[in-house]
This record gives sequence, structure tokens and C-alpha cells, in this order.
Amino acid sequence: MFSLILPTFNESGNIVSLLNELSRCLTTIEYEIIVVDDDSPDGTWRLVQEYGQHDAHVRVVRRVGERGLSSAVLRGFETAKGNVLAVMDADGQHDTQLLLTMNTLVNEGKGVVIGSRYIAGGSIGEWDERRHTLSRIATALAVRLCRVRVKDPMSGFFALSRSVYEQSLPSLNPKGFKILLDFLVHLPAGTTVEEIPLQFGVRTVGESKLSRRVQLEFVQYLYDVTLGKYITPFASFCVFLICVGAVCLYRLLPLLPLYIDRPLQTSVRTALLEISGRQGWLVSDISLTRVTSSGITLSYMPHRRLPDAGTCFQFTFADSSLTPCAD
Amino acid sequence: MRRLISIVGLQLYALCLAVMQLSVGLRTDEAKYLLNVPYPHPPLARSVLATIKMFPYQELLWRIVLASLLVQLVWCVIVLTSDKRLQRLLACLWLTVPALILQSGSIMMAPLTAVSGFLFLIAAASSQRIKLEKDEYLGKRQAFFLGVLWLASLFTAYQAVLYLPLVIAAFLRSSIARWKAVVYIFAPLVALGLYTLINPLAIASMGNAATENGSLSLLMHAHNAFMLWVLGGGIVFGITGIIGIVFSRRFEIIATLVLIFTYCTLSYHDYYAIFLVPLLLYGTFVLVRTWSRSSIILLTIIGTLSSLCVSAYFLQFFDTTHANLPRQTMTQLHAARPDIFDATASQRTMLMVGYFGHDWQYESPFEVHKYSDALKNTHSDILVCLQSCTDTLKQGMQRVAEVTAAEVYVQ
Repeated sequence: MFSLILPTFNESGNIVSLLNELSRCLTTIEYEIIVVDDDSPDGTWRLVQEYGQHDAHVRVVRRVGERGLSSAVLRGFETAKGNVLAVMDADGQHDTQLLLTMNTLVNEGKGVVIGSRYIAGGSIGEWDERRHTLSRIATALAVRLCRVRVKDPMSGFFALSRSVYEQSLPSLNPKGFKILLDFLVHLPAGTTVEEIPLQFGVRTVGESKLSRRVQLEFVQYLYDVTLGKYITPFASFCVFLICVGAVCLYRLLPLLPLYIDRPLQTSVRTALLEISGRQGWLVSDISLTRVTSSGITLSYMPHRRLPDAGTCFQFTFADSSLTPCAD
Repeated sequence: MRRLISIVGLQLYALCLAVMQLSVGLRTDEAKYLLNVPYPHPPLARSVLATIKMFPYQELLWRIVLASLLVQLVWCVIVLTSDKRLQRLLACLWLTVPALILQSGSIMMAPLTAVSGFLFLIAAASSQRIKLEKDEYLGKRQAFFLGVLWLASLFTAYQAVLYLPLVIAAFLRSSIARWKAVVYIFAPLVALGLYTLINPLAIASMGNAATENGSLSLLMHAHNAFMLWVLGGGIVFGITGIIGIVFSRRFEIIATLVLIFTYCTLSYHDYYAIFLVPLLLYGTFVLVRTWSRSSIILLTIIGTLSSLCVSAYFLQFFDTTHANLPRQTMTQLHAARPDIFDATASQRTMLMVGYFGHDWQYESPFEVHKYSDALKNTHSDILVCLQSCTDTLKQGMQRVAEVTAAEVYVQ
């Protein structure tokens, strides 16, 4: 059986005509169409529910309080009965005629079949320059993560066998909108992948879902499957704090006598006031760098709108002498 | 388009506030941060401010940036609700509250801390089931960003610790493990403690700050608390804010309010009033969110007018007489004796007699020294007498008559 998943959000203007087209196109095979709708305010789920009352091939899964294309696709796969699982956009931009080819190829043993915009015969349709550039960049980044060489890992139009789905499922990270990429990143060894040319169509009704949030989720996904595997946010926070702590400790150790030896505190305070009075230096321009029982080492740096340049001095308690540091 | 017009309008408002602060002149505390003088606060914000200290318009630039940050934060404020009337109320509250009008564009740490406080409040509120509107727990990534913000706030100003109850509430209600929450909350405090130990000057200045209001009577402390409340809420929003906070029965918010009032009345500075603004805003929101449309509109009008009147009242106390003294002195000196401002100016010393602030260091290309009795026989290149100078000091020096802002002598 061929199970086609259509994730939707506010596609009421497209969905009925698409379902009609699919019904005409898939008549030669056993199929089901599962529309997974994220509780569209425009009532897409209701339209599909009504459609399903006179077409047993079509059913709807309405997700309330959940969002995201990848997780919607996985929800559809969970409820699907077919041995071939396919995904396409519900905005009419994908060519329904390719579904039969995809079904045939998967049944012939291909693990994944992708409708590719970037192989010979494929095209991106009428995208503007900005979207084209974004897609190119995203694709170039994504290609490097995949376990197999493909031209269009960001396609939203693909089919895969149930066995590939079930083997990949435990390692999937359904974040964002590119579930195919997630499958290709976690593909079982030995899986064969084939790309067939896809000419991307033009959206006539509704709005694109490529929001900034979606783009950000994609970047997050890329991080998660690369560096994020090794550097978790918490670990990086701890490492950073340890570095801060280490620097502070390194600078604190030479000053420790100041906090241990109380009489020394008075000597240091007196010394600083004496230096300040004698030299005319502002106390805020003096920073202590070392305290010993015999004296202190300090850096004098007058604060001005000039490059910082501190000078090191040593002060000896015994003779109240202030001399530049040896080195 | 509408949003763009709003952004531009807000930016003009921010520019006005920044220019207002510019006209007041550079205060000693502001100069301290612009020059990265290492006390009393930790280094993060002040070192960022000082990265462009050689840029001629450093002060103006940071005033505009900080005023814009505070004013444009209104976009985050209105995210608390999707109700347009409430959004208008919150926006008016945020933009007209006296503490914000008087502080936007000042180069101080208090406004930055208040911004952090507002973000902690949002995090604490959105991590609770019964809370503003959305119902999301903080996830791992949000917890990380909150941890970074907490760390950055602490290393910007010690007063960020006043928001600790909000931070604890946000982390403990997040979806991360309890021990990780404890690390996120307390490890930055330990790091801050270590930093403080390497800077004894900061410890000493904290000690001074803690004792400076020690001799005040209970009545004066009460007066200070009242002033904070008036500046923080502009009377009407101050009342609605406090009632709302009490009615919210949110322990972390009440605890934060008590902490801020306690700290700020004991160590009073009027600019601390801005710490209260996020809390009073939240309190007002909690109180009025079930009110009728007309009541909200009425409160918006009365509250805004009240805040503007209070702001106008306090604006008259902006003292512009002394703040520009160092700048005027240096400008006049430069006009009279351009030769001493040559390439070797940085090697010259300027001896200050009398009380002076870091603004002299900021305006002067010379190395600023302060007078003490030990220096009575010393001769500096430039002598500035903010109080009477001894004849010995003036010996061999000429008064620069063209400098009228202060009494200045040069070799």
C-alpha cells in the first residue's frame, strides 16, 4: 500500500483541489492519504474531514497545540498502513504525477526516492532571488551532513520504504521543516537513494511557511546534528564558567595573603593611601597584582581616552619605597 | 508599514531622551563606565562601553544605543499579551514611567540591569502553568540562554542579584534537571564572588556604599522608599503595580519587590527606581487583564498623564550647572593654549585641587593627579584649582585668564 502524508497549516484554498487531483492520479494503485493538520485556523482539517466522508482513501489527523512540519510528517507515518511512505506539500507546488514513479522505485528496492529540484530536468520554478539563494546555502550545508550523496536533501517531496523509516526512527530529531534531511542524516547503512527530477510549481493560494522562525529552526537543527552532538548548551556553559573561574583563581592566588592575614590588610590599605597621596595617583588607577608579607606589587594605569598602558611598581612595607618592577 | 512607522517614532523618542541626557552632561559615574574604571561593578558592560573610548562621539553613541535599547524593548513588553488594549496600556506604562524617562540615555548600569530583570520576569512568568498567556516550560536551550543572561547580568552590575528570586523560579520550573538548574543559578554567583576577590577596590567601594546611608533616620528611609515607588511607577501605575503584585500571590515577584525596596532604601540612589519598573508593569498587567475595555482605556490615559506629570516634575531637578565643567574647562584651555594639547599631551600631568570626578579624566588628555598635602611642593604641568590653591603650587605658573569655567594655571 502507498501512504501519502500531507502536512498542512492554513491550506484550505489548496487542499480540496489537491485531493481531487491525487484521487485521479493514484487510481491504479492501492493508496491512502493522511492529512496531518496543525489545527489550522482556516479550518483545513474540517474540509478534509468532510472530504473523507465520501472518499475512504482520505483521512485527517488534527494536532491541537503542536506545530512543526517534521513532527507532523512523523505523526502521519505513525498512523500510516502502507509499506511505501511518501510526503508532499499541500500547496500544489509538487508534481503529483511523480508519485507513481516513486511508488514503483521504492517497491523495486530503493530505500528513498527524492523529487529533486537540483538534478538535470528539475527546477525551482519561479522563486525570487532571495529564496533561491537561501535554498542554495541551506542545501550546500545540508549535503555535507548526509550519509549518501544527494543533490537535494532539502526537498519536501519524497518517498521511503517502511523498513528505512522504522530503522531510522529511534535516531530522528524532528525539529524544523526538513524531515528528509533528518532521514538522510540517520540513514541505515546500505540504503539506496535515487533522485528523480522535480519541476517546482507555483503556489497560487495561501502563504509560504518559510518564516524566520523556520529558518532559525533549520540553523538549530544543523547545530544539533553537528557540534550539538558533542557540545550541549549546558556543557558549554559549564566550560565557559570553569574558564572564568580559572582566570579569576589565577589572579586571586597572588592576592590570597590579603584575605588570610588581617594585619596585612591594614598594611596594604595604608600603603595604597600613602602611594596615592605621595604620587597624586587616583586609587581607582591602581590595581593590586601581588601581596606578600614584605610588600605589594601593583599596576598603575591612569584611565584616559587613550590606549591602556599600565606600569608595574613594587612597594616595600619596611622602607615605604616605590620602585618600578624589575621586568 | 505601520510597524515601521512605530519603530521610527520610538527611535525618535529614544533620540530625544538621549539628547536630553547629553544636555545634562557627563556625570562622574558615566565617565567611570566609559573609561572602564574598575569599580564598583564587574567588568562586562563597562569593558564593552570602553572598547571605543578613543572614538570622538563615544558618549553620544552609547547614549543613543542605551536609550534605544530601553525604548525599543517596548516590543518585548507588548508580547506579554495579544489584547490590543492591554498592549497599549503596557506600552504607555513602559514608555512614560518616570524612571525610564529620566534614565534612558544615561550611561549607567541600572537601566541595563532593569532590562535583564524584565527578561527574568518574562522567563519566570512563562515557566509557570498559571501565567501570562502561553503555556510553555523553559527547555534546555532556553535555560542555557537564561543562564548566559544571568551570568552576563551579574558581570554587568552587582545589583542583578536582586532579581535572584525570579531567576530561581524560572530555572526550577524549567524542564531541565534540578541539579543543572542549581548550577545555572549558583555557579555564576560563585564566579562573581571569585572576580570580586581579585578586585579589592570593588570590595572597598561596596563597603562605602553600604555605610553611606547608615546614619539616616527611619523617616528618611521611608521617604527614600516612597521616592523609589513614585519614580518607578509614576503614582498611578505604582498603585496598580503594587496591588497587582500582591494579588498575583507570586512568591518570587513579591520576594524580588521586597529585596529591591530593602536594598534601594538602605543604599539609596534615585536611579535605582528603574529596577522596580518591570515588577510594577507585571503587577499592573495582572491586575487589569480582566478589566473592561473602558476601564483599561481610562487607566491608560490617567496613568500616562500621571507618569508624564511626575517625570516633568523631576526633570526640573536635572542639574546642568556642574556636569559640563570639565568639558568647558578643557575646551577653553584648548582654545587659549593649543600648544599643550600637542602630541606629548598624554605625558603631561594635571594636578586637581579640590573635589573632582572621573569626568575630568574623561575630558582631559593629561594624566590626572589629585592634590594631597604630600604634593604641596610639587609642580605639575597644569594646575586646576576647584578650591583655593596654595601659593607654592602656583609658583612659576601662569593663570590662563581665558578659562573662566575653573581656575587653571599652566607652566
